[in-house]
Amino acid sequence: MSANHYEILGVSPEASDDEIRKAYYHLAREFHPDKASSPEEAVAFDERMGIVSAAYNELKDRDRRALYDKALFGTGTRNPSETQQEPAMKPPANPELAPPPPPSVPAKKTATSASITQMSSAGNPDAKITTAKRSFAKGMYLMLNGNPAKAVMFFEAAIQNNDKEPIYYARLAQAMMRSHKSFVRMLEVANKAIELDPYKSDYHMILAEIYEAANMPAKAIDAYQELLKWDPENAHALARLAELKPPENIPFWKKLFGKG
Amino acid sequence: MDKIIGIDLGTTNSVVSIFENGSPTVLLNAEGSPSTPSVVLYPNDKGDILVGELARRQQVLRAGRVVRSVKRFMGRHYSELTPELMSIGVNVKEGPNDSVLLELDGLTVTPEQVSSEILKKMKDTAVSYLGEDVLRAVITVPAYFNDTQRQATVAAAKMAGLQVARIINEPTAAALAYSIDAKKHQRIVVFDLGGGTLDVSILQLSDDVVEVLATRGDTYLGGDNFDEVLCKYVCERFQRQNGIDLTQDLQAMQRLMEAIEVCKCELSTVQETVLSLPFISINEKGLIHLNQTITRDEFESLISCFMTRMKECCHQALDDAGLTPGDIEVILPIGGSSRIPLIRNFITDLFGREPLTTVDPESSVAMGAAVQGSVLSGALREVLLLDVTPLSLGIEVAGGVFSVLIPRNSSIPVVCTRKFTTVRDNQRSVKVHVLQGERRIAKENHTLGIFSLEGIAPAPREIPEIEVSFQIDSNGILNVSAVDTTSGVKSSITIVSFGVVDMEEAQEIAAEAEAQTAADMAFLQVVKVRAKGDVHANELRSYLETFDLPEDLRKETTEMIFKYDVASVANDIDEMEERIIGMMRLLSRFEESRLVKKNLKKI
Repeated sequence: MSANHYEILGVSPEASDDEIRKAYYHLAREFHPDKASSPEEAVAFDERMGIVSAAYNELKDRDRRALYDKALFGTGTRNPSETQQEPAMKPPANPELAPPPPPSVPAKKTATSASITQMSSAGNPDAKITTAKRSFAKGMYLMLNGNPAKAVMFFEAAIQNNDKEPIYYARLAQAMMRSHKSFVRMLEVANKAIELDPYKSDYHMILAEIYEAANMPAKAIDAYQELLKWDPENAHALARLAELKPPENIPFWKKLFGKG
Repeated sequence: MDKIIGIDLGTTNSVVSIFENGSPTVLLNAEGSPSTPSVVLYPNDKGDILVGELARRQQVLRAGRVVRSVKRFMGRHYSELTPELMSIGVNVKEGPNDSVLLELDGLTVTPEQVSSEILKKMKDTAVSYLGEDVLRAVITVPAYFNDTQRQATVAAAKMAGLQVARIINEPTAAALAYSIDAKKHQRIVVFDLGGGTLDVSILQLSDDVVEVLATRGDTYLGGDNFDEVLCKYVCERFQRQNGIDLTQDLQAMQRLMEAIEVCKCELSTVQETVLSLPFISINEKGLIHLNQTITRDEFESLISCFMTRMKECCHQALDDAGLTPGDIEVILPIGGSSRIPLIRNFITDLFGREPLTTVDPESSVAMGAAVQGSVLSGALREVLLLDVTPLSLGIEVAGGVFSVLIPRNSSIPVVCTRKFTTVRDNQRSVKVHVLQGERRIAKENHTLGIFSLEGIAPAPREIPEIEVSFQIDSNGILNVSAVDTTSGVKSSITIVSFGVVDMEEAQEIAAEAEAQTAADMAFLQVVKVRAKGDVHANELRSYLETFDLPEDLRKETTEMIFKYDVASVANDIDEMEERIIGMMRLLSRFEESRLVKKNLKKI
């Protein structure tokens, strides 16, 4: 059953508020449990009426109807609250490097009327975001299981589908670091993460780690200092800075075989 | 076809009615009155119980054994009670699992038990009128009662030997009674100000359908609040004049409350009244009397603080319905307190027209309940009532946020399904915490129930699809279910009364879940760090295996890996982090080292 709300109520998408109400009443007169002739029929009516009411609830309020129309047809000029109907879904600031994303509402299937209505954008853009999410999750899984090289592929795929998520870039940088990939791209990616979300000290940390791993302490110091600008209490950064400064002038070969 | 009676179980008065010969009739009780005071007296320990006028008359003499306005305690947790609620009369005690117990002299009862006595009397009234047994009833509750309060009412009815055919909202019932005669297309507002609660409902009336558009309310606002405020005023004046605090004298307070109620009603028709209570108290000079004049002005200024809340309720209801005050054609004043001139003026100012005077504010609700009873028994087919759920329903999601599945003022019956997912890798269970309310933070809403779904197919986080479904049937009963679409595992809960057992169970589940979450979080941290570290350690190991390294480098590497392993086994996050940094440095050295570049293997 992939009927949309209008089909469930039996009205055209251009129906007026009054017509929608009349349609609802019409269905209620037939299928409301109070009109059932037996308890068994009442239970069946309850379920049926449940779907009808859900459709009516989305259409009877002008704002919600506008949002629904936009999701369904991609039309409609009214944007009451364009950005996600559920801002509450965003997780609070989380000290962990990988904040648990909130339970999300993935790409809608047209099955029940209710699951459609909570979306704020329609069709393709949403499918991409979900693909991005899934690629990212797969990448994470691979990385945690010791396969950073493959993880890199998935992170790149995630970014292709959704290039606005700083964490995708950050994780890509880490995966690249662990699988010893292109240094230049690594830096590019880590910097992009920082650009998208400078407040997150973790992204600065990743950049600094890259520089450290690449034995570029001067740049690493810069990165740590930048981090401390955004997060002055960061113990790890402070510790690393203390150890790195002042940059010693050790010949290359000594660095290679000397104690780290 | 059995007869289903309609009962208005009010805070101050209760009424029973039945639909026959095309209209609802209010039944007279054993004392010959259409209205029964919601007062219960337990005169002795032999199990005798008095309900109604007889109890009310003795509420002063037998102050320690009388319960009035018990509706204010129905379905409430002890921790929810406000100081005003605990003011005079009955002693309120905490029962098991945060429930409420009413402590009389030598006897403890629950609010449901007291209400059941009132319902028994209503049932008896109907039985003696009909000459046959009555099994089913439609009982009304304030529209803004939450689920727990409604279930408490159902529990009380069960104790009284009544099966509840439906719980309906008081303003809706009143509108239903009105619509039987009116039969026009109208938008109406029901302003229901009873003893304990305020409900403002906006309805659309058509030929045969009564649809609720929006409903808002306040379950802590009613005539009793006005009494309390007036009582405080009188007591303070008395204290200033005679230096005695009457609030400490239970019997005096009972007398006073009774008299104040009478005065309040009188002030609706006269401009001033005298409150006279001889021999109210005693001091060293002898017996003293209470004689105070109360004017309407004084009373109005005392209750004006409640006007703001009332105004807010009205505006919110209009907003929810998408209407302005001018769109309303009829205002139905319900409840004794709606007779107060100040309230009537307030309504007139707000809506631009006067509330009706032709509707009986005290019996409309019971009559409406009788009409619905008739619809449910199949006797009346020309009317259909479409009600809404007054409070939003949803679950708690990550971050302690309340995610709404069924918004307030949604028509019922209704089914709503949404998809959720896990927050951790390999998360095998989710806790579904069902709540009711309007706050964004889940904890600040009212918990209806908690259950968990176990056996979710293992997967990285955000991959599983957990379908959560909320179903409210026409009786207002909520069914919540959760399904893992991959594995097909399903779990569900029917929201029932938080009686002793259920509350306990729910609390156990909640406590367990809490403890688990905390342990999970700590464990999760370790797992994360270990994952990072293991990757580095494995890489180093593979270097050791693959390449021929100088002895001191090999030694250093082996040492580092070893130190990391030690830290990992000990679950020591800080130590692990340090070793990880060490390993990363080593790795970078390998990268740069010419030794390695010679034999660089593609990973």
